Amino acid sequence: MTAIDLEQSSSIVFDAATKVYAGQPRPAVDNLSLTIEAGQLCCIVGPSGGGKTTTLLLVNRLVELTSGDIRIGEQSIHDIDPIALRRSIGYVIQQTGLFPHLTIAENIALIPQILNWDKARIRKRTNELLELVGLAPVETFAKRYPHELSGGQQQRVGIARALAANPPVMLMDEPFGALDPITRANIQDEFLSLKDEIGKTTIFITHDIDEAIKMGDKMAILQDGGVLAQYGTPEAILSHPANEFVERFVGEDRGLKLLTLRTLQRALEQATNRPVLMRRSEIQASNLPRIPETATMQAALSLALNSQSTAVIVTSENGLDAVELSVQRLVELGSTTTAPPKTSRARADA
Amino acid sequence: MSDFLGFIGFSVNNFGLLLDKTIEHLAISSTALLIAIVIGMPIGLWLGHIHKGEFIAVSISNLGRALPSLALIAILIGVVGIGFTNVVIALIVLAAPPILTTTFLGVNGVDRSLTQASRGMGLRGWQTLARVELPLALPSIFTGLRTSAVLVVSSATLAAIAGGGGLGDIILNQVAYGMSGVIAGALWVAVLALATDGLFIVLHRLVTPAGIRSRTKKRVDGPLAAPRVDDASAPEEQGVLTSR
Amino acid sequence: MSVTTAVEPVIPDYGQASECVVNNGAFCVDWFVQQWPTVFWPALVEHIGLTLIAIVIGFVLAFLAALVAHRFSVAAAPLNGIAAVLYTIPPLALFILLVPFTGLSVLTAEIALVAYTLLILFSNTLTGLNNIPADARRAAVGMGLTRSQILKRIELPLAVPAIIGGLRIASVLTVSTATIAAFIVDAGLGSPILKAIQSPFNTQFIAAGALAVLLAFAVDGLLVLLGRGLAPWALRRRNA
Ligand SMILES: Nc1ncnc2c1ncn2[C@@H]1O[C@H](COP(=O)(O)OP(=O)(O)OP(=O)(O)O)[C@@H](O)[C@H]1O
Ligand SMILES: [Mg+2]
Repeated sequence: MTAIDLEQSSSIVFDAATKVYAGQPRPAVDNLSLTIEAGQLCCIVGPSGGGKTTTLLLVNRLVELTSGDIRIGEQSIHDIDPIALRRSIGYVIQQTGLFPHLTIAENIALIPQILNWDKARIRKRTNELLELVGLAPVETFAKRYPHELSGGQQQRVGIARALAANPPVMLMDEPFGALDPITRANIQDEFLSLKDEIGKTTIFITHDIDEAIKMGDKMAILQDGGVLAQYGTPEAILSHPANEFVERFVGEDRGLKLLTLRTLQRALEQATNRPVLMRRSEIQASNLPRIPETATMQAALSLALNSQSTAVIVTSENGLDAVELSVQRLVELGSTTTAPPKTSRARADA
Repeated sequence: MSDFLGFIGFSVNNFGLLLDKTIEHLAISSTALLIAIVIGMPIGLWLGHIHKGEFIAVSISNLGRALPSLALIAILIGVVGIGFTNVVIALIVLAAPPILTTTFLGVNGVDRSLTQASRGMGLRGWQTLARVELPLALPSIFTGLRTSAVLVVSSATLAAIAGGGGLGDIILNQVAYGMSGVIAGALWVAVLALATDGLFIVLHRLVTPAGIRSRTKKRVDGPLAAPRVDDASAPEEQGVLTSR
Repeated sequence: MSVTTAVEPVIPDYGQASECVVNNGAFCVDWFVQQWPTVFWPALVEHIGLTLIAIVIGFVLAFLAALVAHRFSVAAAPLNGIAAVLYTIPPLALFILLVPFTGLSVLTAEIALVAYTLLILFSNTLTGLNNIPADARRAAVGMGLTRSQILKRIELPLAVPAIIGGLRIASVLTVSTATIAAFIVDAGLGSPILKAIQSPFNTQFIAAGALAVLLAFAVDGLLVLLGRGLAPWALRRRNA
C-alpha cells in the first residue's frame, strides 16, 4: 500500500465503475467508463439524483464500489490505503465544511500539521495559498474564523485547504453552487486561471450547464440512474449531442452556448475565406461598434443586437488592424467553425 | 445489610402508613405543581408570544437551580412558620422557573414564518397563540413540566423538616420507624419520583404533534459509513442521502 | 446510628446577644460576623470540597462514558438510562439508601453527589461530540483524517462549549444538592441549617443559603471564563 506520488499529476480512469447502494433497486452509478487525462478538468453534469456526488465519492472511497474499478495514475484505488488516498486528493464541497473552531490559517494548516511539516513551511504554504485564492491581505484573513467570512470567501478557503498538501487530484462537488451569480462568475474566472497554474486533474460537479461549459476541458453528462449519456469536450457535446436527453439537457440555445466557447480570433483563423483588413481611414470613418478579437462570438452578436447595428468592427490586439463583420457573416462563422464530432457514446441507444 | 432488607417487612407491616404518607406527599407535590403551572405558564406563554424578556425568562431557571431547597424551606420557617403552606410555597418557588423558561423557549422558538402565515390568514394574536404556537410548544412545555414535577416530588421529601408531612416524615424519623422504616421510605419515594418521571415521559409523547415527531432512523450505506455520521446530528445530510 | 442530625443549641449566649439576635431579626450582621470564623467559613470550605470532588469524579466518569457512547452508539441509550435513573431519585433518598452500604460518611455523600452529576455531564458531552456539522465531518473524512484524529482535532474541540455548559449546570446543582448531605455527614453549608431547624434562627438559614447561592454563582462564573479561554471561536456564535 503506497500513497500516490505527490509530485506527479495523474489521470483518473473509471473502468465499468458501478455503485448500488444497499437496499436500492437501481444503481446510483451504472457501469461508468471514462478517462480523465492528467491535468485536465472534467465537469460532471446531470439531473438531481443522477449519481454525480456518488461518482465523486467513489474516487476518494467515501463510498465503496460495488463492481468495476477506478485507477489514479496506474494504481487501483483498492490498492491504496483509504487514508493515504484521501490525503492525496483535494476535496471541496458546496457547504465548505470548514471547521468552525479553527481559524482560516488553522483550517488550511490541518493536513500539513498532521503530515508533520515544520512550522515555517506550514506558514509559508498557508500564506501562499491564501494569496493564490485571492484572500489578501493575508494577515487579516488568516486569523479570522470561518463564520467571519462571506460565503464566497469561505469557498475560497475551502479550495485553499484542499490544495494545502499539493494533492495531484482535486474533487469538487458543486463548489460554487451556493454563491450569487456575480461572486460565482468571479470565483469561476479566478479558479480557471489558477487551474492552469496548479495543473491538477480535477473532477468538478455542477448542476449548471453553463458553468460546465465554461470550466470543463471535458464534460460528462450523467442521466438518471447514473448512466453516462455523453463524454467529450463542451464543443463536441454542444455541436453533436449524443441523444435526445443530452440535447434537452444542454438546452435549445446550444447554438448560442457554442458561441461562448469561441473567440473571434479563433473563428477568424479557422474561417475558410477570411475578410479583408480595413484601411486606417475606413476604421476612423466608421461609427460601427467595436470589439476586440479576444472577445467571444457571443459577445460580438450581443453587441450588434444591443447597438442595433448590422455589423461590428473587430479590432486586433495591438489595435492596429481591424475587420468588419456583418451579422450575417457572424452567423456563418458561428455555424461553420464547430469542431468535428469527437465524442464517445455510452449507450447511444438510450 | 439486614437493615436494608428489613424494608420489606416494614413495607408489609406498615403498608397503611406508607400509603397515607404517599398520599400526603402527592398532595403537597401536586398542589405546588399546579400553582407553579398557573403562575409560570401564562407568563412564559405571554413573553414567548411577544418575543420579549428572553434574558429574564432564561436566567430565572438558573437562579432557581442555584437555590438550595433545604435553605429555602428553612428560611420560610421564619417567614410563614411551620407546616403545609411553608412547604408548598418553597416547592412553588422551585417548580415555577423551569415551567416558565421552557414555556417561553417553546413559544419563542416557534418558526416565525408560521406565526406570520397564521396572522396573514387573519388569525388574531391569541388565536395564533392557541392554535399555532401552543401546540408546537407543547413538547418543550412538557419537558419543563417533567423537570418541575420530579423536582417537586423530590424536594417534598424535605417537607418533614418544616412539619409538612409526606414520606420525609418516615425517612427523617429513625427514632420512631427504625432503619428499616427509613430505608423503606427512601425506596418508596425513589419509586414515586421515577414513576412521576415516567408519567411525564408518556405525556410528552402524547402531546408531541404527529407532524413533528422525529422520524425513525434508517441505517443507510452512506458515504460516511466509516466513521459513522450520527443521524441526529446531520438531518440535512440524511435527507440528501436517503431521499428519493 | 442516627440519620437525623443531633440538634445543638445554635444561638449562643443570650446575655451578650444583640437586640437583633434576641428578636430573631431577618439578618443579624454582627452575629454573622462573629460566627464566620467558627461556623460559616469552615462550612463553606467543606462545601467547596464536597462539590469539587463530586464534579471532578463525575466529570471523569461521564466523559469516559460519553466517549464510549460516541464510539459505540448502542451503548448510548443504556448509559443514558442509568444516569437518568440516578438523577431522578430524590437526593435525600439516595443518601439514605447508600447508608447501609457505606455508612454515615463523606464517601456516601460523594457517591450520591457524583451520581447526580452524571446525567447532565454525560448527555452534554455526548451531544457536544455529535455536534460536528455534517459538512465538516464529510470534509474531515474526505481529507483523510483518521477516526482518532477527527476525535482529537475536530470533535473534542467542538464539544468544549457543550461540555462547559454541562459543567455549569452540574456544578450549580451540586452546590445546591450538597446542602442535603448534611443529613448524613456533619459537613458543608447544610450543616448549620439543620442545626438551627429545631430552634429556627433566621440569620443562620439565610447566611448558609446565601453562601450556597453565591458559591454556585462563583463557580458558574469561573466556568464561563474557562469556556471563553478554551473555545474562543464560540464567543460570537450562538451555540446549543
Ligand atoms: N447513502 C445513500 N444511501 C442510499 N441511496 C443513496 C445514498 N446516497 C445517494 N443515494 C441515491 O443515489 C442516487 C444518486 O445520488 P447522488 O447524491 O449521487 O446524486 P447527485 O447527482 O449528486 O444529485 P444532486 O444533484 O441532487 O446532488 C440517488 O437516487 C440517491 O437517492
Ligand atoms: Mg450531489
